[in-house]
Amino acid sequence: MTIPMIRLNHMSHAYVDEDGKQVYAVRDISLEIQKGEFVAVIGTNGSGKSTLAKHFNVLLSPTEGTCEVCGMRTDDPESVWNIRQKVGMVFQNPDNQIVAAVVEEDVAFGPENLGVPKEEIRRRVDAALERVGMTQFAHHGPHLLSGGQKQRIAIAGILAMQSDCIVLDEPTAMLDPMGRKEVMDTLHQLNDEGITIILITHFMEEAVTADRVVVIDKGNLSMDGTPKDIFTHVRELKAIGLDVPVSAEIAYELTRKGVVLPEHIITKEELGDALCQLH
Amino acid sequence: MSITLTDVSYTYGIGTPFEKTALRDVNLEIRTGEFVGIIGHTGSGKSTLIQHLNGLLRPTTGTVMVDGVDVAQKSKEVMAMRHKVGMVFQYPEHQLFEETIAKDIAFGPHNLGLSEEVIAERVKEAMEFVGLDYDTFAERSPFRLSGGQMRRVAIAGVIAMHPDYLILDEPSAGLDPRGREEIFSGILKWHKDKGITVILVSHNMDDISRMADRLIVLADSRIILDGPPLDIFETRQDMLRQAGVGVPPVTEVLQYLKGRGLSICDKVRTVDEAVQYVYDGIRGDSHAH
Repeated sequence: MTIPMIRLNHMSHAYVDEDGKQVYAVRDISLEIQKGEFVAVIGTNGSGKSTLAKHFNVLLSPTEGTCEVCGMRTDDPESVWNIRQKVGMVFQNPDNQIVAAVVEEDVAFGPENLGVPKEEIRRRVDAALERVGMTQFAHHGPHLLSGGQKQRIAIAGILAMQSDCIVLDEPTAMLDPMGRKEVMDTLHQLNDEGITIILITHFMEEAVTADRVVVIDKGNLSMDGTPKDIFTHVRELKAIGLDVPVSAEIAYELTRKGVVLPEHIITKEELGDALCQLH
Repeated sequence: MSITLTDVSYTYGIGTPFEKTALRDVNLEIRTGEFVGIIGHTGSGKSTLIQHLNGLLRPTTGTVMVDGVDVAQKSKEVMAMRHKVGMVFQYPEHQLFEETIAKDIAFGPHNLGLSEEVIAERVKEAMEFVGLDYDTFAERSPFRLSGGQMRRVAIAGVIAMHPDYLILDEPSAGLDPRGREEIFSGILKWHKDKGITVILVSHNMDDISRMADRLIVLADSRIILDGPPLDIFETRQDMLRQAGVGVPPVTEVLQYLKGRGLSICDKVRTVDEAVQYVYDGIRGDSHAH
């Protein structure tokens, strides 16, 4: 059997609050993410989904249980740098993660720190910019780019490290609809090329496009399945305080009104097909 | 009473290599009691526009009048005008700085020179407005709150100034449905009860179509559309797409279904309405057959 990209074994992360009480941000989570998967992680604000993701490249370590990346335990100090090279992170605010004054220098920052030879860095930076469709901006100042372009630069920086997995914590929250589409298209293209994608998002339209959706509620793993499995649980998701895709909600409510529709409708195309077949 | 922009243009960095015109020939009147949504892609001029509404930026050419006061003047009236126009910037939680939540909210009212009793009253009222219990939260540090709660404290700080006009730049970015509801329920209530004017900049078309009664679309530094949101979403999809913005997800689904030949009204604000329209549509169809 191949080694999973990420394997959590009864992992918890607890901290001590102001009153000296132990609080669990994530609790007893067991989960495997295979290489090449596109996984969306959804949950309300404060559900623990960001805390969970920060374990994947050792920004946090489990307080109980274990987290393994490509078979390496994240609590083994010897493995930390190897893990961070395997798994890159992209955060919500693009302006907080760009360090250089020129796009290609920003992309080169990671491999430079790994001590990669100069010619190899050149090759990797060019290839990474090509893959995110930003080659023509190589010599631009990052401050002149749109939000979607900045996020693609951040992704290119991870590719230049030759990481196999990208974890993104609400990368599109600050972007306009066009920027969101740019980022999502880029992620899907990279996933087609074999990169594992773990996407934390509040946008259900984005989660629908993943292979798999993981729902975190109050620090616990509450659901795990395909978008079709998850988003037909309209009542449960709403009870947690989450949105569902509009088409799934319309299908659910129509069914409750007595309209006979196939199960597992989550996209507008499926809803359209089902309604057109009614007569 | 209104905010009136007449032939307003604004150019950044005049005379430098970075010179860029961010607003061109904007004419706009926002009247008291309106709920105005402003949309446009990144770089379309939204932020530049709203910074003109309370004199943070002065127009390169043209005039901006708030309740009859020209914001480009330097006078006591202009200072008073600034207090009437409350601005909640993007990610306002980054602007919190005081030791306690109550002190942070009181900062603005203090600068107005109000008495301690009035300030205490306003802090209580503002906390209630954003749904933070006074007894629980007043003496806590704002930095120990969740992101959504911190944002509500920042909004309370602006509310405590009792603005006549409230400008919000992406107030719901990164919040879940419950967080959005907590932010907007108080704002909607003040808008309805006190007639406060709300100007909402957002990429969230759902929020705009649910709440705004007027929509302004910016593209390439100009106002390209101005009208009731449902009319614009129904009839101007092509222009919206060109402008790099979209229609709300619920509208998109109904427009798609209509395109598939279902006779459905697609002038829709909420998912509940959408369900009813689709239900009526398919029942109407089956009667016809």
